[in-house]
Amino acid sequence: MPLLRYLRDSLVFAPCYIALDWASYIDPVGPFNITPWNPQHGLAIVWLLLGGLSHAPAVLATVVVAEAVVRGLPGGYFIAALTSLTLTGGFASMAWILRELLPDPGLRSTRHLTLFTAVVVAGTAIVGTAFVGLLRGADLLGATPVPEALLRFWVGDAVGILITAPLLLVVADPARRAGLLALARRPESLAQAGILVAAMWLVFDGMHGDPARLFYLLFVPLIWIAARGGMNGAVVAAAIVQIGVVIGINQEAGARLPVLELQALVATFTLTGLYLGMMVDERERAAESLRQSLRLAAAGEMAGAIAHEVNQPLTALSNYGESALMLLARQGAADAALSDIVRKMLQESARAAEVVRRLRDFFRSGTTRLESLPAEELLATVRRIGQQVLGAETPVLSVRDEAELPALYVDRLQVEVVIRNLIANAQDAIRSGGAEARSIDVQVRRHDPEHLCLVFADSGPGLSLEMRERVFEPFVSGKATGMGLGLAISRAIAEAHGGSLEARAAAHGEFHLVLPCNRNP
Amino acid sequence: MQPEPLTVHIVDDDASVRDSLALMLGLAGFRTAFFADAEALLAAWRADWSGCVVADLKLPGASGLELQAEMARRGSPLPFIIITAHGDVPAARAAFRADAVDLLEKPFDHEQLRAAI
Repeated sequence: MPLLRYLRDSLVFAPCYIALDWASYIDPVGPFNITPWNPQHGLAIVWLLLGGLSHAPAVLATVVVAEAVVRGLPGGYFIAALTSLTLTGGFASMAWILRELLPDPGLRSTRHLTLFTAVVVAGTAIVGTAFVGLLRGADLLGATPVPEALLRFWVGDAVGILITAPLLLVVADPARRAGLLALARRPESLAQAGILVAAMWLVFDGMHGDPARLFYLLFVPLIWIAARGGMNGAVVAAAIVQIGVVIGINQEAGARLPVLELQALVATFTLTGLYLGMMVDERERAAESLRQSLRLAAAGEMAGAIAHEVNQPLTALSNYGESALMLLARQGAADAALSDIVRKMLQESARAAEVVRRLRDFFRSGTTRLESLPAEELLATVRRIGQQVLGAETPVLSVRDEAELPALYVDRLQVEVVIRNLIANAQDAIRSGGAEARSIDVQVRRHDPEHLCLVFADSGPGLSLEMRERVFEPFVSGKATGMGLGLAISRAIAEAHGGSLEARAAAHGEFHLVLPCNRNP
Repeated sequence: MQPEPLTVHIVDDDASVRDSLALMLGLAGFRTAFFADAEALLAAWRADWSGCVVADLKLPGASGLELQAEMARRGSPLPFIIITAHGDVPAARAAFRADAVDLLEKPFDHEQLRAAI
């Protein structure tokens, strides 16, 4: 990463981290960072997750500076260095594990959410143990018993990350950011926020007593917010509640509020909201997918009917044209211009026929014939198609596989269509990129116990985050002569088999095709 | 009766396709005869016909495949070329199993048709 960008990003990150650290330094155990709220840790993890582990040194430096500025280096430089290392190491590890487990940093399903929560809860427990252990070893905890310190750190850390990380991930994703802004503009959102704030007031001030007693009231507006706003709404609601709790605690600084208990309630609130929101989002995606399918099915019926009707006159046109050419040829060299015109007419009718054929192919649900396709045959097919598509001019096509791969259970003809599309696509990408290396690499490997993954990598320019979804939209083509259906058809075929076709955002082209294996070999 | 010279027998329900095909094949030097549906061909068929049959899959009444089967049952030696507006794989398999010479998708490549004939 260019140094300038690195510095610029770090200069944005560091003040935000320190500001959050300072704002959350409430009710600490001893002069250390064992507070029941650590949102700055969420910021660090998200930055490492999105930007990569190369940011770790910047994080370490920032944590040290925060120790100095916010807490005045209690325990001396050495202890500060050790605790900072522990924290940074913990953040980096969690970020790395999340990068490995989640296919993309955004949280997109309840499964991702569960993985995320599990990593955060386990990770903060481990980091907390190390942190508190360190302080205990240096005899800096004073009178506080280790379990209490650990509990505070753990809850504070976990809550801080669970609230800030999803919020930051939503804000960092351009599509979700747009969704969030659209949500904010709705008058209903204002009403929801108002009710939430009013409920918070009731919880804290209204009863003059233990706020934890009435906390459950906040869950009712949460259901409304999550149902209407999905994950976007839920992360904002969680942020509002957390900020409200912090304000409430600061106001009642004299009274001994059960801070830890409140934070545990906030954690529960956040998790509930996130799961509700995620499920609402998933349901909405399923409904949209169904609507799309129905639309395509209706269009398909019509396209099929039109295709058949149009093919008859196109056939006749083509025959008449050919006849005209033959008649003209008999008349000798005269009227070369006429022959030329008739030839062009024939070309146009062939072009129309091609359009009709591709449209029909796109919409055809087809009678899918599933059969077993052994790995060796799959590779031979890929090589054969590569030969046909790329011919002599090529980019080197190398096909690799792991040993002992199970057979696929697919429709061979349809899979050939997909492979052909992906290879042709790779070839076009390389041509347009004009890079030095020209290679297309296909690797077959296990994806999970029931699927194989074919990775098509090319040395072309690759796709950005926005383009990697757009390329699959029908009728969007980067080529002048393309209809933009190739990738859309390929994805439809992959998904009809119960698999998937995804593009990676990288500096080179990379497509992952997942197909099901034969379960009864 | 004189045995009939080699003739391409065209069976298609679309009048323009029949006419244009007959015209083109005639210019290419083939003798042609055309029929609007399977029944017409079967009714006119004589054992001493020679040449081949170019039939559309989709016909009113009996289909191109059924025509092919019926002709085989009657002992006709005429080979079949099937043309079709659909790219129907199961039909293709059935046609080739019944010994069709070729199956072409409309609109077809004229060279391929001539080669098949």
